[in-house]
This record gives sequence, C-alpha cells and structure tokens, in this order.
Amino acid sequence: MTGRVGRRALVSSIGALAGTAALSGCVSRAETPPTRSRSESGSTVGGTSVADRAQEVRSFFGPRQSGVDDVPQAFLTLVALDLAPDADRDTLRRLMAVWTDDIARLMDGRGTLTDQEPELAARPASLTVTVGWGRGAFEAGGITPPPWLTPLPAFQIDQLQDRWNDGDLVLQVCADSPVTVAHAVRRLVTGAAPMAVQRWVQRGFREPLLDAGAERMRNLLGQIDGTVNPTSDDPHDEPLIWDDGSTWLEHSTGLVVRRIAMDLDRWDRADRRSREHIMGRRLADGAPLTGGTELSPPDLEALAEDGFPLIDTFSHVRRSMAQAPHERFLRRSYNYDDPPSGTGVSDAGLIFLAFCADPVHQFVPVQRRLAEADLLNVYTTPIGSAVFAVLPGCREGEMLGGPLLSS
Amino acid sequence: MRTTRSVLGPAAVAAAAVLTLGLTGCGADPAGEGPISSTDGAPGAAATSPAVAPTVDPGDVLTLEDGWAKAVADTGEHAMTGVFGILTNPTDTDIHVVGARTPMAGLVELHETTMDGGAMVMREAQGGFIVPAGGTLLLEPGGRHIMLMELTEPVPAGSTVEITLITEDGTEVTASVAARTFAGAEETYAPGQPAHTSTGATETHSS
Repeated sequence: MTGRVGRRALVSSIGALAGTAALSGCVSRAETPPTRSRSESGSTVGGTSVADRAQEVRSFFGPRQSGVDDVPQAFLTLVALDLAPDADRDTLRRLMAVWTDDIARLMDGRGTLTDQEPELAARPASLTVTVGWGRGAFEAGGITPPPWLTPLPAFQIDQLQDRWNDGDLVLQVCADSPVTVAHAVRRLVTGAAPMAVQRWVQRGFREPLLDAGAERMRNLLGQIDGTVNPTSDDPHDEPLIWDDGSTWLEHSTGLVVRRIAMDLDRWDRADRRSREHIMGRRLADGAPLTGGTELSPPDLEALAEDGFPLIDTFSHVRRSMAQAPHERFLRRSYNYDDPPSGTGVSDAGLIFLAFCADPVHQFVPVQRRLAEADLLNVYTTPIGSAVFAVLPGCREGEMLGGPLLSS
Repeated sequence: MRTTRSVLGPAAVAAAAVLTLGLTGCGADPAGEGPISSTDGAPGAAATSPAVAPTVDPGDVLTLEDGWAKAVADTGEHAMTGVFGILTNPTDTDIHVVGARTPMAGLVELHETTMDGGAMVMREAQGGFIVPAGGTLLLEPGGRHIMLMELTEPVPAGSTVEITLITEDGTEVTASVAARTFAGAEETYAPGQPAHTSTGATETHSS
C-alpha cells in the first residue's frame, strides 16, 4: 500500500497563494485514519465529512498501481476493450501514453487534456484507475505475456456468455462517487478510440455507508464477502498479491474477473439456517458455524450431535479454504444489480475480482474445487470470465507498460 | 491558474506559474507538458526588442501548458487540426505572438472566434495573440487556437506535435503537444469569407 501525499496538497498551496479557498492536503485514506472535517459540513460518513471524502486522492505514481490492495471504494466500473484489428506495438505505446497522462490527472482531481467538463473530475473521491492487459495486447505488441495469462480452464458450473468474456485491455475504475467514476470512464474510453474500442462494461457497487477499512462488505446474498483476505502488510502474504519478479514482472499482479449471477428468487426460498449451512458461516457476523468471530478459523473436524460435521463437507467455506499456503488471493469484489431483461425482478450477482501474482497457481485450484462441489452452486452461476495482467506502476515522467514497450 | 491575474501581483503570478510547471510534469506523455525551449530565431531580434532581455532564460519567456492537438488521420490539402492549451507569460511585459509553424503542416494560422450572422465562426486572428504580462491566454476549442492546415502527415492520438510559436520580436518558442482523440473542434472556419459549414471530422477550410 504505497501512499504518498497526493499532488492535491501541493495544488492546495497554490490555491492558497492565489487567494482561493485552501483545500485540505489529503493523503490516501488507505494509510491514514480519517480525520475530522475542517469543513462546515456536518454530514459525515465513517467519521469523515462528505466534503473531505470528496477530496481524497490516491497516488497514481508509484511502483505499484492503485486499486488493488487499497481500501475498496464504493463504486466500480470495469471496462474491457479490444485493440483495433491493425494495432501494433506503436498503437499500444500511444494508448498507454494517453491513458497514463489522463489517469494521472483524473486521480488528482483534474480534467484530462481535452476535458470539456473538468468540473466532473473535481471530486476525485479516492478515484483509482487500474490498467491491465489481456493476452491480445501482448500479441498485438509482440511482447511475451506472463506464463499464466490464458483463459481459465472450463469449469462444469460455467455458463459463460461471450458478452462478458475476455478482452485485450481492462480499466478498473473505482471511486466513492459514481459521478466521478462515470466521467473518468467516459474520458478514458472515448480517448482510447480509434486505438481500442469498448468490449464490455460491468458496473458494481459496495456498501457506501461503511467504514470499508474496518469492515468487509456484504454481497447481495447477505453474506460477508472478503473475509481472511491476504494483505500486502504481511510479508508472507505480499508475494501472493504482488509478483516479486519470480513469475513475471516485479510489482505486477494478475486480475481474475468472474461475473457470477445470483438466483435471488431461489435464494428467497432458502431459510436462514439453510443459508448458513450452505456457507458454513453465520450470517449475522460471518463467524464459522463452529464459533468465534468472523476472523476465527473454522474447525473442520467439529461434529454436531448427529455425528455429521458442523461445517458441511460441501459448504462453501470448506470447499474454498486454501489446501496449500499458495491457494489464496486478494478478493476485491463488487455487487451488481442491473435492470432485468426479461420478466424477472432481478439481474443481480457479484463481479468477483481476485488479484494474485499467479492466477493459474493460486486461483484455479480453488475454483476447481468449488466447481466440483459447493452447496452455493445451486444459487450462483459464473456467466463471464476474463484474466488480465495488471502492469506495474510508473513514476512521474514514465508510462504504464513503458519498459515492455520501449524496445 | 488562468483566472489568477486579476487577483495577484506579477510576482505572485510568476511564482504560481513556476509551480504549475512543476506540477504539470505528471504524465508519461511528455508531449502534453508544454514548453520548452526557445531560441532567438530572428537575427537581431534582441536589438529590435528591448522589452525582452536577450539573456532571458529560455522557457521563462512563454510556455504552452497542457498543450494538445486534435488527432486526425487525414493528410493533404484539406487536412487540418487545431492546437490548444494555455499560453503563459511569466514576464512583466505583454508578449505578442504573431505566428507559428510546424514541420507537419504546410500552413499554420492563429485563429479566433467571432460571431458571423448569428453563428460562431473561426477566422484568422489578424492581430495575432497577446499574452498579457504575468498572465495567461487560453487556447481552446470554440475559442482562440492555432490552426494547422495542409497536414503533411497524419496526427495519430498519443503521438506528439512539435509547434514553434513566433513572437513579434522574433523570439521562437517550441513546444511539444500531445495529440488526443477529440470529438469537438468541428467549428466552421471563415478565412475572410462567408462561413462554411463543416460536416467532416475537422474544421472545414475554404482555400
């Protein structure tokens, strides 16, 4: 979690110089506890005023990209793009030059060079834009991809729809304001033409009225999501998230996108006891059915009075638990609740996002176990799948992907 | 920054401008970042212009901040594009920009917007651009801009365009600006004639 004082702090000194209202010097929320508002607004969320949250800035420049191990913002738009058919390394280089400059400005609360509505960028609201390449980008550029960058193997639970699959490039745009997200996406995608065109868009949200640094979000099944995530602060976990250079590039990571539809009509018919049995966890606090708190390890050996395991053999928690130390990954998922296309009430689910240094090594074994048997599979169906290589970050004056594109 | 001139004295504005220079070096795309070299292009320029000290530090004379050009795919007689950005004059003397050139265009003009018959039209700014002392001049779509015509090569998005501004005293300032995909800047252009309505991707130009 590399956070530094955002440029906004410097901008604010200019604002003060110019006699305009000074902005507070904000640093990443991820590393600094929220401070009391200095604004006159009495409206607060998580102890931080709305005005202060609007001006929070995360660092774009640094060895690693933002939007991975920092505190998840409330709103997500995930856009996959395809390169133009005749795209080559020069195309990719020009696109990365445009995006690097645009993203640096947007995350700093400024409009892009061509922006005719920079006011919509003026509330950065912890905006992060994370750039990843699919296999097609490497092929277009004649660049060797990470060894793990292939479509995931087919799982028997999958009912993938091509409109949610794959892509040459991905932009993960997150902020605590949906207006900020919408504007950033619009500028970045229109600015990418004709080098790349939009392939699919997934919009998601988390609980915005939550201290996301202290609590996990809930998905639309009502379950706490993201318990026992690895953290960059733990030296044992860090190489699970960030490549240390042993697999591909140092400070890179992999992004697995799984669009998981939830059958909420069927879920409505399951009572709370059944739901907890399926999960192996209590709904109220996320603790394992064998007791403790959300963070307590499940006791997989514990038996109920009837002699059966307290945590069912096919419960989600048992099937998804790491069977080896490397079978872990950073989940940073978002809910979706889109307008239904047919007569149903809901088109809802989870935009499952997992970051890990090597998806094939870390993610695939877990997904394989869940596909083989997981009580939750009755209610959830993967309908989209994509894998991207998240580039290392860059310093000021450099370009995302620069070292790959320079030769 | 462009609104600060009325608030601040020249010294404060100059300080702010310097900070802006440092701040805008934020992209990997050096092209968007403006200035940055200036040379005495015309022999004897200093002698004819006592207002600008001949020993002035290049780049302190005039800069183009956040400069960009609309990307275009066409070349040839009718291919054209515009250059935009913020001209900043840190000196205590007005700077009169009288022309510009780039290797990529056969013809370069300084344009301004006027109302003509109820419509906004572009036409050549006969008097050039005045960048006020200690102030800025905004070049933007729908307003003043530098018009590149008769493009000799395409201007793909993400590439850079070198443009040299020429001041009245012959000082030349070269900036590298970033080409960007942009849907606008389709205004009509009236080179001393009735306005022509554009239907193309760029401004129309009647030659």
